Amino acid sequence: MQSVLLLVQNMMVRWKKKMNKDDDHSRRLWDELLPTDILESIMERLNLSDCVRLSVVCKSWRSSASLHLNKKIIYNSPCSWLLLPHHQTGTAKYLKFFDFSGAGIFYDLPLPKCWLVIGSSNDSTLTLFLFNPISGIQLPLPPLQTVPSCRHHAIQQCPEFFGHDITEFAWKIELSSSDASSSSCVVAAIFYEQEGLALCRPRDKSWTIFPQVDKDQGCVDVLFSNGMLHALEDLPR
Amino acid sequence: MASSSSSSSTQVKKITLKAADGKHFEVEEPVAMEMETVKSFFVGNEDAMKDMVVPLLNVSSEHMPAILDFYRNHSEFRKRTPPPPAEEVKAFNEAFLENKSDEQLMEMIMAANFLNTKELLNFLTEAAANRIKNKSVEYVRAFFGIENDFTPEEEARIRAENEWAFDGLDED
Repeated sequence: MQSVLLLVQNMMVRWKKKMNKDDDHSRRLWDELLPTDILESIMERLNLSDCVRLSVVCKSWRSSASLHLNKKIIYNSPCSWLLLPHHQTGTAKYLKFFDFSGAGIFYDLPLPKCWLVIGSSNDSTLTLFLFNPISGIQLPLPPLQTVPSCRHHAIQQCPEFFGHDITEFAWKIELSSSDASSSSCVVAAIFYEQEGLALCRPRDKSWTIFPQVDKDQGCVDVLFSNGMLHALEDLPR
Repeated sequence: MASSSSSSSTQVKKITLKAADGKHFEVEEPVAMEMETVKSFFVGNEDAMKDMVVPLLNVSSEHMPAILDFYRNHSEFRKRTPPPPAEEVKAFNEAFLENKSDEQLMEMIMAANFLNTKELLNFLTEAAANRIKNKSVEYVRAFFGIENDFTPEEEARIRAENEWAFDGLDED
């Protein structure tokens, strides 16, 4: 047993010699082989903005830190944040939060770029608009009467159409960019019984219909990816 | 534990530890056993003689006295009844960190990690965290001796994602 231990000891000495070959190398060890659990345990003792900065230190820290940040935000937040009112509705770029756990720290976060599609109807019109629930910004989309299938339904087949749930008519609505207020943002939609894709920019006066490639195929899904609009057509029935 | 406590002597047994640079340290057995790495060297290994030298690869002799001092004091704090007042522990801890450079602190963290002692490691990581709290990215890189491997464009993009985290920092 003793000889085995000696052997191990010798191996360790050799390993140590290898590690200490030059000072530069041992200095780099810390940066390359920083045990993730030590970095984690340091981050556990820091607040959110400290951890965000640690994620900019180097690439390997970025991956460790982003894992930790997700945990910190989702699971370990001892208190929720208080969203403070902002004064310039419609123009504000940041949201202000008050963090109870961080000794009264304020965070300014970019506005979340999510939009709800809301439909509102009265006796004669059916309007869709994009709504950001936090900033309160509303962007009107063109009236649905400018979509042929909608006009057809509303006028000829179903006079009560305007009382209906909008989700029955708008199957899918996609934005080319999360910044819907920008003039370059394009909205693509698939509407019930409408052949082809309906396209518009927010605040346009009417929808533009882009005919499908094959007359027998209907559009079933649509997606913006890397600046390209992809549409999926159904197989001929 | 393997110590079949030789009842022949009442004298405290000593264990010899060898630091990375070859220097030997004679340490009382209970203090040495605070280090999980040393403990596991002997535990379940009846043949390991207590007079064997335990090599500690990642611990330089520069830090050994301070580390052993920490173990001695903190194990005494734990055993004492009634427990020591918080100020006494705090005073010891503050004195421990005084005059320690950032580099020395990081070396001791690596040592504590190698020695596998939670109490010391937690104490030192807390100290490291306190030193980088509310400091700039550049300061943290210098603190840990880390090279920035982002391109300027990459870094600018990442910073822009969370602009709010880079304002109002303490001076380096």
